[in-house]
Amino acid sequence: MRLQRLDLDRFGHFTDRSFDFGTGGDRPDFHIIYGPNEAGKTTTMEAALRLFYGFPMRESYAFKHPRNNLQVSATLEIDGKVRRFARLPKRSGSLIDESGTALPEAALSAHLAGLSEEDYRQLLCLDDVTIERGGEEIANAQGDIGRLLFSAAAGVADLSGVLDGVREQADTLWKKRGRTTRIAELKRELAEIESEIRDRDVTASAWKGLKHALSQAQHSEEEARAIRDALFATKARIESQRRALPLMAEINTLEARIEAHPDVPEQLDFDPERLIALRTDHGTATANIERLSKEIAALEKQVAEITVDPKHLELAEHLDALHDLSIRDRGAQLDLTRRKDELHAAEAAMIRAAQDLGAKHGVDPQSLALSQAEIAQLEQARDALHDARNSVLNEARELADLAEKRDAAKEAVATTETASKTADAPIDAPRVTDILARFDVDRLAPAHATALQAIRAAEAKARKSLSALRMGAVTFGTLPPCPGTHAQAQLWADRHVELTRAVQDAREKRAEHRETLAALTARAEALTAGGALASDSEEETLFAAREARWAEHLSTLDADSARTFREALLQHDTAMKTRVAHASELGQLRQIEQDKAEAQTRVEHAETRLKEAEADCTALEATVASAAEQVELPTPLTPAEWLDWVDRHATAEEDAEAVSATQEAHRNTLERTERLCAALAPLLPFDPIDLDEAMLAARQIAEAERHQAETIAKAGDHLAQVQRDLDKREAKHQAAQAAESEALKNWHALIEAFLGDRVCPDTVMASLAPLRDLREQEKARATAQQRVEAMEADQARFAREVTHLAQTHGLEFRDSAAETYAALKDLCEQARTAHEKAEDLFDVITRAQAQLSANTNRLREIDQEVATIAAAFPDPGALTDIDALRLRTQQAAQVISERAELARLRQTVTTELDVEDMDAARTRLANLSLAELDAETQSNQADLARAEDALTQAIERRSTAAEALKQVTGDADIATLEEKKATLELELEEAARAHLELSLGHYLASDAIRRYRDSHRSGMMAATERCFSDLTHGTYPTLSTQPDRDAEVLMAVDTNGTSKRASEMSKGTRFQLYLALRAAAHEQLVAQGTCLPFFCDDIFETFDEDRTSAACRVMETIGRRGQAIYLTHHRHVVDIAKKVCDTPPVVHEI
Amino acid sequence: MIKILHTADIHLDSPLRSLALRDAELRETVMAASRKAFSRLVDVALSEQVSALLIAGDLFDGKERSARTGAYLTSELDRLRAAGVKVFYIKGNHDAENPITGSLDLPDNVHVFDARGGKVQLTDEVWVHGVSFAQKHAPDSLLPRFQPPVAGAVNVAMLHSSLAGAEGHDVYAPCRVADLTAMGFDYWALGHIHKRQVHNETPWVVMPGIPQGRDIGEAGPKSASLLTIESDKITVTEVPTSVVEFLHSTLDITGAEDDDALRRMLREHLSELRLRISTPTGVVRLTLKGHSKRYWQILRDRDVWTEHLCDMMRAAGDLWLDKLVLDIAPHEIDANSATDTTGAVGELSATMQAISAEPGFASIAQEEVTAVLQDLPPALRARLMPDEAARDALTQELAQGGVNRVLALMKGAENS
Repeated sequence: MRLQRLDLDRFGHFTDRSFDFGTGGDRPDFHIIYGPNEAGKTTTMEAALRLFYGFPMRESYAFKHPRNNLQVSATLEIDGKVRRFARLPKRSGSLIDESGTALPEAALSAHLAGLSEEDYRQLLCLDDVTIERGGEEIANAQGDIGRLLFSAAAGVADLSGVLDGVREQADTLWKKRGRTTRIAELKRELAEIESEIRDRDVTASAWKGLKHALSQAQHSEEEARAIRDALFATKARIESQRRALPLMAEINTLEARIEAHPDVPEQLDFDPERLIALRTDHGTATANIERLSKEIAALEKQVAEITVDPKHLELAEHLDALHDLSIRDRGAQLDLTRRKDELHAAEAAMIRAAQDLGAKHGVDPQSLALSQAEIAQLEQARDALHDARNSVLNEARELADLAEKRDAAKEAVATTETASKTADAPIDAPRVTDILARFDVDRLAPAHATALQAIRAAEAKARKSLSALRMGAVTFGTLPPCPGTHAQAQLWADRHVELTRAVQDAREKRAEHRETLAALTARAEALTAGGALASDSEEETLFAAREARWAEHLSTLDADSARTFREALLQHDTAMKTRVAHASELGQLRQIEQDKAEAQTRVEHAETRLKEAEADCTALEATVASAAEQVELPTPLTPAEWLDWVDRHATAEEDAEAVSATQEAHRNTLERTERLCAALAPLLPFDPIDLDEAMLAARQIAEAERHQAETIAKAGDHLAQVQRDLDKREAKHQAAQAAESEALKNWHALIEAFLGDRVCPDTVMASLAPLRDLREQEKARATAQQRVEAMEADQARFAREVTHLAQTHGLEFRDSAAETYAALKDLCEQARTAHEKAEDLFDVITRAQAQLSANTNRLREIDQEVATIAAAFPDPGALTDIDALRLRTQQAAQVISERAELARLRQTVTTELDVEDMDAARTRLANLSLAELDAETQSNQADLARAEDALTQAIERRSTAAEALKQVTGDADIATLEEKKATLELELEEAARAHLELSLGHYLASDAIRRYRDSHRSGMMAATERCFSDLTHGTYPTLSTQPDRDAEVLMAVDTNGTSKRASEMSKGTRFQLYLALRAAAHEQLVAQGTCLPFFCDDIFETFDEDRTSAACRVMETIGRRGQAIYLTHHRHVVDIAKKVCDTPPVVHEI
Repeated sequence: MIKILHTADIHLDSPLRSLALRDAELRETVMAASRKAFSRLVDVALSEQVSALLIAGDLFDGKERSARTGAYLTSELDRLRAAGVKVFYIKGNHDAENPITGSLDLPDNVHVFDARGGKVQLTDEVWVHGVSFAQKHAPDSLLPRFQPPVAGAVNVAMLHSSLAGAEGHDVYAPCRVADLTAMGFDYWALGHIHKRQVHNETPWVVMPGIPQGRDIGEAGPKSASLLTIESDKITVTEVPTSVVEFLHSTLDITGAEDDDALRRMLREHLSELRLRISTPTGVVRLTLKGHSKRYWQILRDRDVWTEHLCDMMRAAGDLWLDKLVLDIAPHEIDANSATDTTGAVGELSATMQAISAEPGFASIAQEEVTAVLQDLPPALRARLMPDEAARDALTQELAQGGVNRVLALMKGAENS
């Protein structure tokens, strides 16, 4: 497959961008996509991957076009055919053809050699990351690609994993001697089921045996039972005979006894006990009759002895009528004397009371007895009079108190006023309080303080700025006038700076020129040093010396002179020769000489300028000094210092003005303060130092003044109040006096009305007690008198009645009526008692007679019953006596009971022996004895025990057989187990088959993979080796592998035979190896018929030129086999590629 | 009018054989199915008030020897006795070898024909003839032992026979249908062959088949024959007997694009299948054929699909999977890549085939097969590997199965 055209319809920042790779031809299919950074090279590569594998859910290239709109399409050459595909970001049907028809995924995936997207990236889409990561994995045989490349070129990734799974699965099914495998488990289950079937099942033949056994057991059981039952019958017969023998003897005895009493009736129709009861009753009745007859005779005799007078019985009625009167008579006899005494005592008390009231002699005390209401009226009037009198007294006392208080108040007012008038100050002097108010001290004082504060601050500042004018020892008490302006000072200062700088410059210049001069001199000296080269002056000196010698010689012309001249001449010549020889140095020397002259001139010029500048500077300083002297400042003074002083002077001047301004601003306040002090001065006890002190004193005085005024006002108020109280009290006093006279009048009127002139009113006034006493005594007296009269009347009437009764009943009158009355009562009582006794006796007699009659009747009844019972016997006439009858009855009962016993015995015997009648029974028992029977019993018992055992055993055998047969039911248990067994066998077969399939499959696959690996690995290695050798220009001619655990690691071997792992190589070499691996993989894929586009994204960055050239050649080689696309932003890569490739690659520029 | 019920080859208590019975629920449902089928027959006999029940041999199964089988049978026969239904029974080859046969005390309503043959009058106008197997094998025809039919009556003859037989199988009382029809009997009540077949109608020659299929080899609905004899004329109707039906079914899954589609297709197929099965419970062997894009995945995920199918079958209504047979081929488009030898797996596949044909592998494989089979119960071993040839064939089959399995896993791992 190759890309003929790739269209980024909407992808990344591209819209409708196309790359036309043309049709594959003879030339190598190697393309370079060149563009600057961010131009979209990587995007292009990604686009190709999207086309092949679809868009991921999280698409990082959906930044310009939304994911839903993305589209990549391409024209692909597949197996010689050209097809058009487009990829849409859809879940299904994302691959479409030219007409927009959805294509099955296989239309494309079938040509991707089964490479996953990740594999494709690791293998055929190389960038900095994938080349390293994938390469490392491959070299270390890790990951899918690694295994891919070592085990096979493509398509068998993870086969070892698959095979491991197969082995594991096979082993879970069966393993030699394995105990936990599926087959082992199934076998166990099968064995369990088989054993269960064996345990529980019964075979058909066994079943038949069981049936036979049961029928035999049943038969033998029946036989045993028959034998035992026969023995039981014998045993029963013996036992019954044994019981019947003694009974037969009893029967014979009884029969003899019964025959002796033939005339006894069959049964008695009465209860024999009844005779005993009758006998008892008869005795009782006879005794009662005798006792009662005696009692009746005695009682009748008593009744005859009692007599009663009927008149005396009547007396009771009359006596009852007098009963009340007799009681009153007895009371009067006891009470009369005491009542009379009470009457007299009351009368005496009344007379004493009248005397207490001051009654005139002979006045009846009873006439003085007043009613309760009248006494109350008098008491009320008397109390009113007392109250009025007390009220008058109270008011008078209050009045006197108030008058006294008023006088005291008046005096206090007078005293206060006097005190205030005796003060020192004259009457009309202004008071301190008023002054303080007038000046509004509360506001003035703070204002004054503020003013003083402000002035003091300003003054302090002025003083400070003034002292700042100090210079050296010179200080200023006052501000001197400034001798110049600030501007002038500034001018001077600036000028001085300039001049100073000019001086400095001139000096530097001079020094510089001097240095130049020195340097030039040094150079000239150097040139001339050693005398080799004479300077012009030296030459001139030598010339002059020669001329001088010459002159000398000329003049002398002797040898010496000649020699001297010659020396001079030689010296000059030498110098000249040297100069000629060193013409250039000489030139330099001359130049230096000229420069020196120039330098000398400059030095001089600089000095001149320096002097001028210094002169100006000195003049300026003198001017400043003269200005400073005007204000007596110490000199010399620099213009800068002067400027500074002038500035400070200006500040001091401003501060001085500020002081004046502050004083002016606060003058008004200060003046008011002074006036206040003046006004207060005369009123203060001392001359105040300042306002604060004056204020303190003034405020104390004002406080005293206020206090005095308050005292006077308070005294006046008090006096007025007391006067008002006094007036009110006088009015009340007069009213009380009026009330008193009214009460007195009322009192006298009442006395007159109730008592007239019989008593003294004043005595009454003193106490009303005698009046009350009198009234009480009058009440007692009246009561006593009434009682005495009533008693006397009762006594008279009682005496009369009693006398009359006594006469009527012939009784003599006794000493008093009361005694007579008592005698009458005794008489009456005696008569009544006798009468009652007679009545009681009659009753007793009547009752005794009734009892007597009843007992007689009972005796008759008993006789009749006895006669009836006796009638049951053959001779009733002889049986009138109860005791005789009882004897006969007992005899009869005995016989009857024996007859019954006989019948029972006969019945028992016939039943026991199971015979019809007694005759048969006698026959049966004839000739039998107990001893014989005992012997027979013992024999029978032994037989029975044996028979019983035999039967028990037979039953057991029978029930065992029956139970065994019962176990054989028609249920489906065994059938179900058989079914389980069948299923298990099927499962076993299935498991065995599965195991064998897996195991054999595993064997075949392992072997196949081993062979495959052997055949493919060598080709792969050879390809890699060749490519890597090319890339490294033969530095690493061979590759080898090294086993590492269960994998293999790739090693490169250099020309010296040294092996290196990838991790031990430089990055560039490593990348070359990794590239070689990919190129080889591509080659293998192509060899297997899969040709896929190979992308590289700028992986040659780390390569030098040689390596890049080699890499380009590799790309070209890949391009010969398939399609190689290199993406880069390095122009030199493009150039190198063009240069080194046999056929230059096609370059696409973005 | 009298009615007679004709059945044969009951094979009482012969177990069902299917891996579907691994499921306890199904086992519970179809437990002792041969008994249930026989009980149903008795129920039919009672409800139809038949005069007689004919059992034409193989009442018992050759190997089953539990007395409980006899006890069960006795109780069922007692039911018929109580209703006055007579039972005529000839022994087949299985009965002859089965020990239960001899240990039975059959009720007095049962008449067992002996090997000499005989006839019994059922009613005034109906006679029943029969001949039993004396031994397991009856290589010669039993027809000469029949007495001639009673003239003027309806004659029913009972015979256990493989008829003309099939090649490679033992013959049991061989005879041809034409021989039978020539005998002059009105109804031949046959037994032995488990598939129902009416060979002739005048006279009737009827093979009723087994009343309850026991494995997938005895698939399809099962029944007995009900004869109605009215004025010398016999009509025959079929009476369904099985409680569980085995069924082969094949489904072409070509066109199922993905797993969901395949599931849908399977569900629809199972719904149709459910309608085709008359018994309440069905056990199905399902073969999938056709082409599939998911070929390798289906092969690889056979277990998962089997599980799926079981669930779907339960959902369809008491259907159970006997086995899933995969007879599918890769999708057409993939066909090349799946069979080609250029891809790695393709190459591996070819290599594996080549290795499997190598004698070296053959001996290793045979050894392994023998080792595993030696570990199995002898009966099973004998069934799987009766002789050397069978072992070699089995080895070949298993090796091929192994190749397919591993390939599926490899392909599945590759394409999943």
